[in-house]
Amino acid sequence: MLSKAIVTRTIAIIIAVIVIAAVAGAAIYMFTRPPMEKPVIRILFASTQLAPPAEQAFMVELLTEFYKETGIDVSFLPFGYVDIANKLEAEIKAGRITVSLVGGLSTEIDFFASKGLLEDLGRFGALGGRTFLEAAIRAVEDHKKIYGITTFVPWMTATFVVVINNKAFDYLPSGLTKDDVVKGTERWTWDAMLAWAKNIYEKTGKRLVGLPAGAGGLLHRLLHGYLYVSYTGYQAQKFNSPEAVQMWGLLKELWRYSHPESTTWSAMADPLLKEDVWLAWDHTARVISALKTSPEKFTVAPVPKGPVGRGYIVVLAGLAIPKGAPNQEEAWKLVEFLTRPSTQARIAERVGFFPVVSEATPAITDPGVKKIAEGVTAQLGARDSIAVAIPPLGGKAGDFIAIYREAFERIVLKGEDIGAVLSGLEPKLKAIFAELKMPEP
Amino acid sequence: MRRVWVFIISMLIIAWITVPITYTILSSFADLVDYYENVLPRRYTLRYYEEYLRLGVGEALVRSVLVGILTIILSMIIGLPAGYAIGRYVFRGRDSLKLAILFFKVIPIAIMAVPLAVLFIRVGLYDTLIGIALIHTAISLPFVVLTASSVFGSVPRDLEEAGYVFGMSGLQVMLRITLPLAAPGIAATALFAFLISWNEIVAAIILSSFNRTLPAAVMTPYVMGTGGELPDPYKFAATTIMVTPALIFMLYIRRYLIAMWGAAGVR
Repeated sequence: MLSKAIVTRTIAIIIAVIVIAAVAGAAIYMFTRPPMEKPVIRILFASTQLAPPAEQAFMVELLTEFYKETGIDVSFLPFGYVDIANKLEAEIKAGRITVSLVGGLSTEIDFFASKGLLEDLGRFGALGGRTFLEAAIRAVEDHKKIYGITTFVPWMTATFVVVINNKAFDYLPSGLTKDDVVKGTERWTWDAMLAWAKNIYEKTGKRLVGLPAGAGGLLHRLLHGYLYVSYTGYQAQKFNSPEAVQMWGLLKELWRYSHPESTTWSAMADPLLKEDVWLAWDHTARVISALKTSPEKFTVAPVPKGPVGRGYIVVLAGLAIPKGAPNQEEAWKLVEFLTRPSTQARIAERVGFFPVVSEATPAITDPGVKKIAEGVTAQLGARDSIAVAIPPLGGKAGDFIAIYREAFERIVLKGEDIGAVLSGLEPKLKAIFAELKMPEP
Repeated sequence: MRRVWVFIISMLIIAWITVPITYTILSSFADLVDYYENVLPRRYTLRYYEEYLRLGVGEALVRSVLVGILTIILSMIIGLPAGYAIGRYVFRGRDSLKLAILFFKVIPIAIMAVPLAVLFIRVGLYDTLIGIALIHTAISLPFVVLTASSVFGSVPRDLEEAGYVFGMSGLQVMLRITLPLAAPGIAATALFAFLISWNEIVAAIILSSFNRTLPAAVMTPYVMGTGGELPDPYKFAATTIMVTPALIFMLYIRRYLIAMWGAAGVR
């Protein structure tokens, strides 16, 4: 049993510590908080993109310039996209909105628009002195057809590429040269990639292909935007077809040479740097840190092609203004600033995204970014390329993705019969497009 | 022989806990290129911490500490009397009341998020520290009430009665006998309340805009990699920032936990 004196002292100490901590904490807080100065217009820019510290720091730097130019103080805050959706919904319901500008992928903005959370940007008129890329304009038009409003202004673009550890070039299968891979010639096919992976496995005993099949990974994009398009020419239309069966057969084979931890990976940058994998497919923003860390180790190549062509996705990030947001004029000024060719060029140099305006043809200096830019250009320039956009499905996007992921899980991981799985899932996929009255992409 | 086994097993348990923490902290200072080349980093840098500080992680940390302390205070004010009543008195519906307290844990906070945010905006608690502390209090109350009830339940009733016999008032008995005896347990309860608040992320993100707490500022973008992937050392640095204050808090309060468990062992 503790003596009374000790107990009393103990309690005294606890209370003292709490009080001291509270006071000190409050003091530090007051001290570090920016002082309430003259009435500066302060706007909140919530974004699902550019969250990593280095990219965020770059945004802060960029926004400081914007402040000097316009006197508008912008707070840049990264959020998960579910969090932004919840936040916007709550703020709009309660009629007190704090977010003035939202940055996100066109698919995310599509979801906000489907919930009626966005302002029509049409009334702000056109932005002069810049030409948006064709693919970007098409995405904006797609939204306009569905929602009847201009939901966003294109901000940045990205795509998926294959990153190769240079050691892998020592194990090229016969008939495939480094030049074929880097330039994306006729011979750089998914079958060739399979033969390469097999060759590496037979000579090193290691499964060195990496796919982002983890819960946060973007494997579903590989399925509907790359493999399906390369084999069937469509993302969804020929979901259950002989060509699709052939494609799944290839993926099943490829999986045999893929690193077993692939099912846990959400991004390929780390596995590439650790040399757990030599051949990886992923989003440019999810491999860029590997290329920035050790540019000399890797080569970036366009994706392989299939029987129909070289299918690939153009990813687009955009800027949108929430319905009833405060300081909309100021937010629009920020949109103008961020899409200015000079700003766009700088964004390309600093983060894993590329410009959406053609005037921004930057002299890229970072060797890692340069490598990716070269890979992306090779992909865009390949004659047999079929560019697709992620279909704007609003609230149904999750169901769409789930179908492809389920097919992957059942066919590739569990080894179920390809035809049976595809026939079983096809009606669900058709139902999504039927419900949205959209042609199947 | 048996002592050797006990030694080996305790070493294993200690290693199981300390090795990941040590590795995390060590790697959070590792030079980026070096980290991917060597298992144990050889070159060190403060770069990740500097970048985080520049992005306002320090302020978020102070906010989190304040919210944690507010949560302790609020949940103690509400939870201790409730715990005492449940632990000390037998009354009709006591068990169903206990169950009802746990009911809050059944509903995932993500489902309540939007209505809650709407309510907070209307009441004016949105984006304030006290608002976040209130919701954290609500989340931690079930734990506080239930642990407090068993803590008070373990204080021998005879001692309280002895106090009454010697002419103490109810308040005096509470302050001079019950609370001191329950102090270690209460400290443990406070620790839990603090840790629950410290780690809570969903409500903190939705209920704040400019005034983000540490998990809201650090976890989503840096550790879980929303919107672009980060190299491991950045994640380790974010984790270290998250873990250190909680570790310090636990080291301090540990004495009281040992006192409680020790006492339980003697009894």
